[in-house]
Formats: sequence, structure tokens, C-alpha cells
Amino acid sequence: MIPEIYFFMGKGGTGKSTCSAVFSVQQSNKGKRVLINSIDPAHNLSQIFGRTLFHKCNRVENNLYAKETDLNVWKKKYLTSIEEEMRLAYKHQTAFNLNKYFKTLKYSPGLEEYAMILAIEDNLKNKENVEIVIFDTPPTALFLNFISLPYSSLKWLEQLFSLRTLILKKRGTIDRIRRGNKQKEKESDMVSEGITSMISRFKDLSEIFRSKKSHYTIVMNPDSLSFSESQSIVNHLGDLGINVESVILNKYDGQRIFFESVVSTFREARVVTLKKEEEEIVGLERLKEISEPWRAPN
Amino acid sequence: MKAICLKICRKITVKAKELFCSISFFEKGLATQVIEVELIQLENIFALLLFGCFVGLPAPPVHLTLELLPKMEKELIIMMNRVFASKDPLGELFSTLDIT
Repeated sequence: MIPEIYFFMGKGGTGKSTCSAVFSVQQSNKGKRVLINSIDPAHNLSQIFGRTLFHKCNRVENNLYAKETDLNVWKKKYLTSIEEEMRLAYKHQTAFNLNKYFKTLKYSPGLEEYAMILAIEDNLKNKENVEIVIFDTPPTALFLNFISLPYSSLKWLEQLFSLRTLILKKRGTIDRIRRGNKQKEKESDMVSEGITSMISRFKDLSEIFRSKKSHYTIVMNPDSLSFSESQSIVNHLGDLGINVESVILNKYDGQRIFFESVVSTFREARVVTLKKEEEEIVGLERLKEISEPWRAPN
Repeated sequence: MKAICLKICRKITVKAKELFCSISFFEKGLATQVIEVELIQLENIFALLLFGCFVGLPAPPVHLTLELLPKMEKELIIMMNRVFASKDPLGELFSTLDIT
């Protein structure tokens, strides 16, 4: 069963991790089985929960699980599997010549976003059997790159698939001419099989991102910079066919005019506030204290 | 007589020096020739790696390239051969048409 997915996004430093942690505690107190997963390379959940969290799932309380995904682990796992596949498929010399490039491939742009996709796909398998998965995401630029990845990949894959189909058609024609009327069993083409399997993976993922199972919450502060960045997120997600459900106005100091302008700008979303706290929000007890009177985004 | 002999000896020494110099120049040329070819190839690969998109090679997202890489040994070898043959298009044409 695919769990309900919540993404907390926004400008760096607006309080995405705190808000997602408060939400996770609130939902777990309602009796739901919740997993909160930080996919931000600069994690904060350990500090917020006041305990060390690891790459693997950690039980925080009865129904509440947390983890800090180490993207480097996913990158390494992925590159090792490709290397292994190459060693099996390639002739010794070709594989040997390419192997040295793998050391630098982990620094390739785009691989971090792909590592996030792999982490999310792993969460969607729902090995922990949770009802809700909350993702504490990296700041805007990296988040938007990551969320667009299935869509941009699909554009490339569709082009590659049509080109491959053309190549196979030409190969078939040559083969038929050479063989005359002799029928030959249709050979499977590993490349087009690979493309088809990737198309199906990315289609599933993009459908899940657009489905009612996925919920998007922007966390912003009452300042013009995070306000304009939040507008950019809404526009970008709108282009992908994704709607933002809620906006959390965090560190809200009671400025009514600002609140009203947020409500009028993000008409489609529900706007909730989290007031500025004098005391730091650290530790499970403090999170519970905050979550009780707070109106959650859903 | 002695003066003439000395003059001849000096001339022989100069010519011998010139000969050794030219041999050394030729040897140096031979030695660097191989490195120069290697250098040009490396520069070519470096430019292709960095600027492939400027010569009609668009750069797809890296995970697509990597996922398909283990399945494309044949295509990869063809591409490498194409790169090496690109300097001698006539030679490639003749070999395609089997003209010797």
C-alpha cells in the first residue's frame, strides 16, 4: 500500500524541518503510523528530535519513525550496481577502460537529485508499513530540480525510444533482405527494454507526485524574500501539474497585513500560522507541546 | 703543412658537431612525435567531454546515460571508432566501399 506523502518545502532557514517534525508528532499522536525522512543533504532532524538519527529507520516513539537519508549512500549503491552490471555485460578491455571514469561520476551534476528519487522510490515500497511519509526537503533550487527530474527524464526517454524504434526497424529490414524469406525469431533489444522500463518507472513516479496521495506544503516566513520564493515554487509546481495544498506562515509575529497578502496570493492553498517561539523547539516533549494547539496543514 | 692539417681537423670537428646535432634533432623529433599524437588525441577527447553539446551532442541527464551504459557496448565501440576515423573521412569512405 502506498502511504500518504507530505512534502515540506520552501526557502532555506524558514523552518521546514521544524514544521515537518511538529506535523509528524501531531499525526503520530492521532494514532497514525508516521515516518519522517529528511532528504536534505544538510540534515536538522537529529537536533530537532534531540537524538541521533541515522540513514536507516529509527523508532522515535510508538508510532513515529524517523530517518536522515544519506544521499552519498544512495549514489554509491547506484554507481556500484552500474559498475557490476558493466563488468558482467562488457568485454574485459572495454569495461577496464571505462572503470576509471566511475570515480569522478559521483560528482556529476544531477546525480544528487537522482539519489533523492532512489530514496523516495525506496520509501514508496513502504517496508516500514506506515500510513504517512513526511519528507523534509532541501531548499528550493535543489527541491525543484529533484521534483522535475521524472518529467524531464520522460521527455528525453520518449525521444530516445522513438530513435531506437527507428534503428530496430532498419536493422529488421537489413536482416530480412539478407535472410530472404527465412523467418527468424524476433530478438530482444536490451537498450529498448531498458528505455521502456525507465519510462514506466518515471511515469509511475510522476503520477504519484501528481496524485491525491501527495500533499505539498510551503513553509515561509513573514518576509518579502521567502514570500517571492514561495510564489516561484507555486508557479514551477503548477507547470508540472502539481498543486500546493497548504502554506505555513512560520515565525508569524501577528502582522495582519502580511497574513492577508499571503492568503490573497495563495488562493488555492490553506494558510496556517505558527507563531514565533521565544524558546527553541528541540526535543520530543517540546514538539508535542507545540503540536497540540497547532492547526495542521491537512 | 701543419697549419693546413690543423685547419682540416677544425673543419672535420665542426662538421662532426653539426652531424651529431642534426642526429639529435631527428631523434628528438621521433621521440616527441608519438607524444604529440597522444596529446592531440587527449585534447580531442577533452574537448568532446566538455563541449560535446556544441557539436550536436546534447547532454542528457546523467542517470539516463548510466542506466543504458551497461547495455550499449556495441554502440560505444562504434562511437569510439567514429571518433578515431573522423580525421580521415576519405580513408573511411574507401574502406566502406572496399577500394584498395
